[in-house]
Amino acid sequence: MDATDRNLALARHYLDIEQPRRALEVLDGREHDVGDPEYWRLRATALIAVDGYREAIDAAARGLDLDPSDVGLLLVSALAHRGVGDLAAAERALLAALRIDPEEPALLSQYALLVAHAGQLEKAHRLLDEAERLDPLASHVVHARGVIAYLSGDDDAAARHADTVLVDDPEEPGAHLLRGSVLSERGSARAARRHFETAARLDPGDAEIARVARASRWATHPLLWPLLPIQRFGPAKVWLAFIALIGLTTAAGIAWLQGVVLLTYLVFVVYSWTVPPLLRRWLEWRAAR
Amino acid sequence: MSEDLFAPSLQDVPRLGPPAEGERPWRLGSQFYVAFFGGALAVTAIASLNARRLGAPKETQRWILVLGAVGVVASVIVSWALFGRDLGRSLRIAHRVVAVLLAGALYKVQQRPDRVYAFRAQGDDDEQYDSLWVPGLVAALVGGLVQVGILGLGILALDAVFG
Amino acid sequence: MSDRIDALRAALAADGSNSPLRLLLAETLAAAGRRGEALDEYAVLLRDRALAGRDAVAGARVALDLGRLDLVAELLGLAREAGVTEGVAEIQAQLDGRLGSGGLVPLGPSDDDEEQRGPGRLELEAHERVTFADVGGLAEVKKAVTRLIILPYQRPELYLKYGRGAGGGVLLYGPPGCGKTMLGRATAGECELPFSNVRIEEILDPWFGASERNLHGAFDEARAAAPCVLFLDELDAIGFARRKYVGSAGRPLVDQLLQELDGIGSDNRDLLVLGATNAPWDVDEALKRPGRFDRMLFVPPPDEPARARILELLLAARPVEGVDIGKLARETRLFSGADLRALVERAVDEVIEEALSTGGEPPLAMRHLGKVLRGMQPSTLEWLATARNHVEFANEGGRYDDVERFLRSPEGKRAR
Repeated sequence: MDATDRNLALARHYLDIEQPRRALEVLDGREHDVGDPEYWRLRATALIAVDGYREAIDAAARGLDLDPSDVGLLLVSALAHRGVGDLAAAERALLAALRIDPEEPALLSQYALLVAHAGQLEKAHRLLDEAERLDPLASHVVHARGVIAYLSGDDDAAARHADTVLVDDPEEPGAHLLRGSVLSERGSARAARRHFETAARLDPGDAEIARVARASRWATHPLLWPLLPIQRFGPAKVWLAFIALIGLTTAAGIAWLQGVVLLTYLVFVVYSWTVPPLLRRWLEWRAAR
Repeated sequence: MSEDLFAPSLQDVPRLGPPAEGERPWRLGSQFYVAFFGGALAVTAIASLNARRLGAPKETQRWILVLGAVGVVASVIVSWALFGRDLGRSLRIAHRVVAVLLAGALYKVQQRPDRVYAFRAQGDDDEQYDSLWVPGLVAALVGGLVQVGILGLGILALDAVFG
Repeated sequence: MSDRIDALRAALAADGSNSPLRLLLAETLAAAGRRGEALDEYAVLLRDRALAGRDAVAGARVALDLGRLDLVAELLGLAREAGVTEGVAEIQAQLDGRLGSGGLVPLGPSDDDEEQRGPGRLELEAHERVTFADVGGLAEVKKAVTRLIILPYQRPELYLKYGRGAGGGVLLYGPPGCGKTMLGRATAGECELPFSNVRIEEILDPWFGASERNLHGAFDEARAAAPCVLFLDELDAIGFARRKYVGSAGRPLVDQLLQELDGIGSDNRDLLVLGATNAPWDVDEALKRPGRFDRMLFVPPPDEPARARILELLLAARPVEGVDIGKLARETRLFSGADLRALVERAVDEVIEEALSTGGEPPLAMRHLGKVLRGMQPSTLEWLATARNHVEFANEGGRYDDVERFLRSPEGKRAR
């Protein structure tokens, strides 16, 4: 057991406790065996965690030069390539990993999410079918299912999968985020906000979750209550309802009522156009003051 | 396990990256305004451009054009069926109803690529989407004028054939 | 008995998620002497966190009999979390005995360097008599540390008179580089006591059980030198929240830390315990309970007077000319002490570049500092952004009210 082993253990520990920058300080600042693929895997993992994707690609490549069949390195290489938008290279790395270990559910889930980035949702579904066959209870598979279902527009399935994850682990932020997204699409802004804020409470370090949670607060601001019909019923039904009202009042020949409906409609249109972006800017300005 | 599950399918996918301002898609909900004020042609044009910006598959883009064509034809037929030669009422009511319904259908068609786009992108809505104000206004004006022409000619033609 | 076991297995095969049934199977297997199989079932229940405290103790006994020390530690941890004490200390003592007598499970190929390691590697650092006077700003924090740590040590009779017992530690938290460790040293200096700085890099060891032993050794050394200030740096690295650990490797270390703080089997009198962390939200909740680190003090980035003082100290031994420290202090809002040091160092690099190119020996001037400052951002911004999310979404109980007040202050608003 020498210093390089202990340094590597320390870097690994920092990654375990979600402190990638400290892991990088150890990996950069201390003695290491750069002939050990594990060093490069840890380095690439830490770099991905701080969005250093290009450097992570290099680190993974150095590790793969030493051991081309290291599945962990192939996976982080895939994630790093995905981070820079190079889905083709990410796929090559993942397929190389799957050739070595074709029955690893985590790899199948990652491949499903990767093809989902390119909109290939049917293939994503089939990959998750396979992952589920191998490990039916794996929560990452269930969660990926929910994400793919949401992307496919199948909100009911997405909600079901999110709920399945939450039954097992009520403190899974990703599942709350998914549940909130479905509720938001269905117009249940308040319920969606509760889930988004729960996700943010469970993982306040995630900037994206915090952003979504803040946006959900704006969406439920009292000044936006007049726009609840759009949230609840969707824009098409609201527009059609107004047109129907205008048509009915026209047919009935009640000119003053027609005028009222038209005026209300105009105000509604202007309100829905202008108030949401202005409100958001005002709330941001007030928070920064 | 079927062989094609591990057949590469992303090798021709171009590198993804955050689109520059002016090349970003528009929010789907905003397209209803274009439909209401500009008609079927205007909203189809916007939806078609949007699908390209979202990186939607060619099939989706074709569907948008097909639906748009159906919508334009339907607005002529419905207007003539309900109001005959009364172009005023056709423009105020019938063609708007058809346009909004069409916007609903186009919303559904764009929903999947829109969600995939949002899944890839991160950051504020303002950073993911462009404002539809100017292009929407242009589409509504130009599309609306052309639509008026099509409606007028279409109604006249239908009246001549069936009237 | 085996019929009963078969029947239980068949029932479990039909309903794998039935934890009470699995527990019954485990107990039946253990009673039948099939301890290996029993332990497999306890391991599944442990993984699913479906064990009550007393059942965890029963599982720990089985694991101890079979020499599965890793599971013993985890099961004891679960029992402690559930508030169970009966049997825990006895099993822990047996576990310690196994670990202490070389019952380590080697992960590496050789034991050769085992003799060179052991819990005694940590050395008590002779403090350089740093006191609060050497720490710029932070008046409120110093006052709190004085009230919570120094005075109870210096005037125990006063505190006892009012029924305030000793014990309990203080956790300093805040952005990196803002003086938490310096405050720890200064506390020792104020009390004129030795300062023992326990760091994760000196504790952590990939050999099974060695990290826990190192931690125990560090505490024992500090106890031997008591009265002493024991400073646990990067507390989140030593005491990371167990519920967040994906694997189980780090949990026994947290269990060990809890035990050391509780003084189980040891005497923590005259041990003044301070902790520091950049991530208080990642510290295990059990460590923040009464008697441990139940007092949390926010150490903010230095304010303007403190920054001026730090800059004075940094520039004191260098040739400077025309440097307006007040202006620099105003323009370095939210800069940590480490940032200010980096600012001066980089400015010195600029001066040296100039010296090499011109052949002269120019003094450090505002233009050098200004040039570097234009390209620098405070390193505290990232921490403050994360802290803001915690304040906004995870501040039930008002634990981070100090941070919230800071973020609302004119200084803190620059972080938005």
